Amino acid sequence: MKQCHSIRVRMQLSVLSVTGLILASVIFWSYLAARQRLEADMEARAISLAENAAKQIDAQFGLLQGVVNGMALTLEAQDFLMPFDAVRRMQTRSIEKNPGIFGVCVAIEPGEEPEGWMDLAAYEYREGDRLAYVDLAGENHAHTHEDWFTLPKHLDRPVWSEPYEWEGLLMVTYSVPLFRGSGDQRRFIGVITCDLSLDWLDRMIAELPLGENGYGLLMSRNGTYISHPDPNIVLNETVFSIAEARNDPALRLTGQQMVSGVPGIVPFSSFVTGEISWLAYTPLQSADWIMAALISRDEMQAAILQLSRRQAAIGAMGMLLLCLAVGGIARSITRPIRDLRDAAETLAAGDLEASLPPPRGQDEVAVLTQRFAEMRDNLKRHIEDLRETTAARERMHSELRIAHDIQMGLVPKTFPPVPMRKDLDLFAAIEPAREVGGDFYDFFLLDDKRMVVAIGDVSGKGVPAALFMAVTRSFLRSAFRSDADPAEVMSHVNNELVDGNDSCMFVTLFCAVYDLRDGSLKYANAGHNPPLIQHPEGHQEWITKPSGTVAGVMEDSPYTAGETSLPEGAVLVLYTDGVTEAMNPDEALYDESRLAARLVKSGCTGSCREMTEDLVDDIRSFADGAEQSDDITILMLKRLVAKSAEDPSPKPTPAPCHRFRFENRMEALEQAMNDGDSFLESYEVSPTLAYFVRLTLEELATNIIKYGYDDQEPHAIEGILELGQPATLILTDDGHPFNPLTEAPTPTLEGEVEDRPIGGLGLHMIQEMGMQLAYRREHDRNILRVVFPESVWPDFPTDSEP
Amino acid sequence: MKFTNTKQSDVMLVAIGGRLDGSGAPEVEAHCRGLLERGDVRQVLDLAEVEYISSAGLRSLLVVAKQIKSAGGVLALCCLSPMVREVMSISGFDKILTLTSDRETALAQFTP
Repeated sequence: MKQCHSIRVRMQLSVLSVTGLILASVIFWSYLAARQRLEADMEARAISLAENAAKQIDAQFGLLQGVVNGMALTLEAQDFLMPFDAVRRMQTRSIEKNPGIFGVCVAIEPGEEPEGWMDLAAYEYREGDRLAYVDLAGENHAHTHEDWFTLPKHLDRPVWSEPYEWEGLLMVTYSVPLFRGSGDQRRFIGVITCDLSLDWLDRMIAELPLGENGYGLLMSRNGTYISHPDPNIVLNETVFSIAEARNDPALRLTGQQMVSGVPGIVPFSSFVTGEISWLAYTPLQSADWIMAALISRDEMQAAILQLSRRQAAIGAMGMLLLCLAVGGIARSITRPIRDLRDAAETLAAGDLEASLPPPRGQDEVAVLTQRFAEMRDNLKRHIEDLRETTAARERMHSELRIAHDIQMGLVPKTFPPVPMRKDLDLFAAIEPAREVGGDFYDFFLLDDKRMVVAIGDVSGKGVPAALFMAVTRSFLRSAFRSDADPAEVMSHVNNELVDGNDSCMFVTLFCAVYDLRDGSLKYANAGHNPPLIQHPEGHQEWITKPSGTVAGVMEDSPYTAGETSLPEGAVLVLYTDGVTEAMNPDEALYDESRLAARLVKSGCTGSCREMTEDLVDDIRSFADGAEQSDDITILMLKRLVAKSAEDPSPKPTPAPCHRFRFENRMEALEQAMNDGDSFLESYEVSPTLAYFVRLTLEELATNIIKYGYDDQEPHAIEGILELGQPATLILTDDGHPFNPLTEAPTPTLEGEVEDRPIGGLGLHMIQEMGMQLAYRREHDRNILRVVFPESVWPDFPTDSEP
Repeated sequence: MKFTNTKQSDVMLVAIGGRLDGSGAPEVEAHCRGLLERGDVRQVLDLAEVEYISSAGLRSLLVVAKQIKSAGGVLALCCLSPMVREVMSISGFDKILTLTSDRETALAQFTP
């Protein structure tokens, strides 16, 4: 699946990832904000709960305080002149009316008892559902030693006692001092006390909405717990004793802050639940107590977490909806693109009839689709055009093929042409260029002693050239039937060609009559490339003269015949300009010098077929892949030594021969010398001959390299070493003319060492050692032939004696 | 080219191996000049391992001989193979260079 790369998926992924990121940030930010707000709420709530509870307690206490203060005022106002049973009735009434009051006691300082009062400490209290009465004074006025009596007396103000437990009930006593008289006469009479049961306090505090793990507590000014969820520490422990026991300085500090009388809120680690909480505290107005409310922070966190979870769930749901929406939108946007892609695939596969999706609207895809349709139509038209052109070219090609077939059908291709003639070797080849050219060659026996060879090159290419060539060949053959003189034949052919040559074509033509008996050659040339005779000794002869104008242009052009002869072993080489004008990729021409050098290299040792093929190979490797622009046509004729059946004198085995060629550099000479050594070693010649050959080669070639050239171009030096009778070495070079036999200075051999000039020595040496030198200049080449002294000629069985 | 230098009293004996041709001759020339510059003005060249000498080799021996002579020293050649000896005599070098058959005779050239 390559779906993950489609536009649709990319669109979905990018939209969703961006919105997902935004959503996540919003949720996170709202979590932080909610958390902050909730924390503030919680703190405020804790504080207000503590304050409310304090107010509630204050209200309750205030009510009861009012009852007691009222009773005290009543007594003082009547100056204690009320009868004792009236006091008792007041007691009873106040208990009955106020369910928070457990008991009421009116205690009188001994000696101050009003008249008619029977008991000094009249105490009425609840016992079950009814009221009970007891006199707390007894015989020895025990009540005067109680805190609830002495504290108001000495402090001269109402006093709340520390909470205490009485008969299993948590109690607290409110004592109001009673005075008689005013001003200086004012004196302490006794106290009126009211015992309050604190059960309702616990209930009220327990009902405070402080959450599952929150709780309220009440503590006295000295830190004693009055109300606490753990009943074991109520009245038994103070916050400071717990801090001591736990060695908890933080708790002690908290305790100090709480009893300082200032409301506040502190973070607090509950020693009951162990949770991190807030502790809000506030002192009561009525009693010297502190109300505290504790709210669990973890609970709050849970609440926040729940809130965030809800938000996340809503967000996820939103994302899901967004996914679906984006998916739908992306699908609808990309559908035309996908349709177009499918159509384009079909198009790309070559089906140009494939229908494109109908364009919808004017958007980019619609425009793209229209352009695609135009492209397809153009492509169709183009292919149709191409088909027609190809068909036309195919027709032309087949015509050219026919022309080529004509060309190749007209040239003889049977080799050897005269198998019974052992003194003749002949081979010819046409390498046609891509386009058909007008090259041709021909050969046929005039009679049993003479053979005609011809080569020609018609101007232009293609079918006209092929036809012109066919005509030329016919004229040539028919002309030779009536006349054997090449010049006459050439004139005849020329006139025939001029007659009716409306297209002004022409042909370069060389024809020769070769006499098989003595190798004489009579020829005529109509503007054709000069043929060449390769002699077995290595030198070459160019047949440049006489030469007439090209045939087919001007009536009665004069042609003269030339004569030469082919010695035994020599090769006549005919070729067209396809050989000398073959180009390599750098557009350099193969030219006559390369042709000549190649023929020197192959020598006259091989058959004409081998030599021709070798030459064609060399031209091909020179061209190095460059396209062949013209036909390459070569014809070679070699005169062999006649072997007659009547004279079976055996042909001597050819002497071992080493042909070599090297560049005009000392390193190349060194290599050539070593190659020569290897050749001589393989024939096990005498060390003296080996020395002579090496020395001769070094001295002569060094001279050529050092003094033969005026330019810096590379030149080829060619050599033939033949171990026959005599043993010879031939060196040829294309340096400037230099005959070492006449032009070299004679070295001075006399005189002292320091006076002797250096140079001119090598030539003198090899001549002194017996080497005979012969110099000649031929075809712009120096040819030096060295005959080694007879004493060192190798003695090979070159003549097989019967 | 192979060179083996042996000092015998104040004479430097150099055994040369290889072909004294166009490429070997400059090496011999450079080697002997190097010895001369170090102060070896009396040199014997042992040519027993030299099987080939061309005019280039002869020239370099001539150059060496000239340099040693102008430095006031003496050069002797010994142990020439027959072909080399032949070349020397054909070229007339046997008359201008001191040639001896063995090392002892060559060394004796330096004793007054």
